[in-house]
Amino acid sequence: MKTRHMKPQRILWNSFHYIMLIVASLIVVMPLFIAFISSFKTPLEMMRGEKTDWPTNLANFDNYSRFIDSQPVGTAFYNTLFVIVISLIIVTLIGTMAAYVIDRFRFRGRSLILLAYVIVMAVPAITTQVSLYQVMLSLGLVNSKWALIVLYSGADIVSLYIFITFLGSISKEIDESARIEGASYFQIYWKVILPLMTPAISTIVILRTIHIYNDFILPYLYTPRVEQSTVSMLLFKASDMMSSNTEAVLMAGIVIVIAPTLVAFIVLQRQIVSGMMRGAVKG
Amino acid sequence: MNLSSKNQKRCVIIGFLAVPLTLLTVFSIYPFIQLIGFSLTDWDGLSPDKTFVGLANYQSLFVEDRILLKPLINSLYYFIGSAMQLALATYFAVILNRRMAGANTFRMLLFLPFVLNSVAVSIIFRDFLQIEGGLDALMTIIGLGAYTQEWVQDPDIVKWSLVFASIWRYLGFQLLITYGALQAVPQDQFEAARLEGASEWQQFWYITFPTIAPVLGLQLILSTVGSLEVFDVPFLITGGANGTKTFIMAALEEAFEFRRVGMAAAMSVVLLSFVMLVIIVQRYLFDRGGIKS
Repeated sequence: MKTRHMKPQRILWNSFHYIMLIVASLIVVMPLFIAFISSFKTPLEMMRGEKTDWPTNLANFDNYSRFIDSQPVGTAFYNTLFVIVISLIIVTLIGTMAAYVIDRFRFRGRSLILLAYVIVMAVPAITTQVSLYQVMLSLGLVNSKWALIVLYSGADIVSLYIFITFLGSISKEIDESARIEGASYFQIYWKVILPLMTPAISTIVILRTIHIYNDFILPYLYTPRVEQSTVSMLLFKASDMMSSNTEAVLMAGIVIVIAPTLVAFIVLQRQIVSGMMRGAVKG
Repeated sequence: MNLSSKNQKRCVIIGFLAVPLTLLTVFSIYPFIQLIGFSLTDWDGLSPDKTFVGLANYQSLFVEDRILLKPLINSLYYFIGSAMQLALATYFAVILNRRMAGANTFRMLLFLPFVLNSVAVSIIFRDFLQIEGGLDALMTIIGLGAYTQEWVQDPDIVKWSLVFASIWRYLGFQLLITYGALQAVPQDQFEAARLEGASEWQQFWYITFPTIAPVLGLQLILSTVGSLEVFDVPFLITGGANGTKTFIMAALEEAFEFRRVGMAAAMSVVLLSFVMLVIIVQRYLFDRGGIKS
């Protein structure tokens, strides 16, 4: 900011804005910071001291080892990774295939299919859980991580919408010239369209990974046992089991779950932000 | 393989759509139709027979026993909260858009809560808002120790505490969207306005606001829908105690705890209708269209 012609009034306003930003940032950071320092405290420190007190030993990893020993941490992380990877592969494949057909071909029933997708997209997923649960029961999927996989991939209309919008911006001349050179429609999809969709795919990968890692409602309903569930259920169950004198252990578990997100957030912040912006305005 | 072009086309269309359309039917369309069907029965979710009761569930919901509708009032708190959130998000987006020093760091910090695990942040807040929890300790440090409250225990305060937790979580997301919309505001107009001596407020009102108004309107609609569907934050922080139960929590409780699937389905349909109504209003006001055909 140039200071040459700054009027006193402007300086005053700028200071006000900075104060507001600093206050807001402190409000954002403080609950996280307190949870973080709590994870290094002994039960006695938790009981006697104030929450804002600095822990006596910042290298006290007792709470971490207690959390890892008492909770199925490895299983939950393995399941989370498994669900994310398989769901993303399915979403990418069926999403780009459907987008290819819907955007590039004109056929009978096409507008009906589009209408179905538009209607389903408008229906909030949370309102149909009561009956969806019965479907999952009859398919024998309740209590299996495959329940999460089919729902994160099969019921994900927003990703399809992003794929269709993206493909719509790619010129059809590319397909046509490949067609003239003798490529089949499948080859065009596989060798031309899919590689061109990479930016959209990476957007979906970022959006969906964040969503699946953080989602609570689907694991809560369909995989109540941690053995088949994600990190959300790990924390939910752990918090059910813990009492007030193991609060610091629970905080250690929270740090374990949040840490990978923080690292990814710092490394990939630009991609996450632009992915979010692209994905957000869906309606 | 030498399929004729027409046959090849048909193969690709059918082959590529078979899986997504099956998934769409099984996991979205069929449950949707079934939901309406269930809402007309008194099914308990277990027994093989479902008795058709017509609109009895709706009647008891709206006329006889309106206790189940009560949680819908809580949406009002979240709606007020989301209006405040949008105002705050717009304010921060506007000032961060002025290329001030550290703008990117502030933007990322405020956005951070949105990408964190739902259960993790809810437990953090549950502890933070406890008596003698983090919030009380912080207030004592800055000299506001006399104003601490029973943030989660007091029924009059807990709703605002939950709204606060919700704003904490989602403010950065709205900030990001508004910030994106602000990129479309031509910067040279600000320069010109500044030379003419326009105040900050005039610059916002005459240059910025008209450009971002559609995006703000859309966000308002989305958060209206959002405030009808609140679940995670209150469920994980209070479990619905002290009158913080939301409509979704009540519906899921009917279905999975009290085994009144018929009634739960009717509640879901009611909620769905409200959401649809909001969306129709949105289409009417903004006329944006959905997937282009």
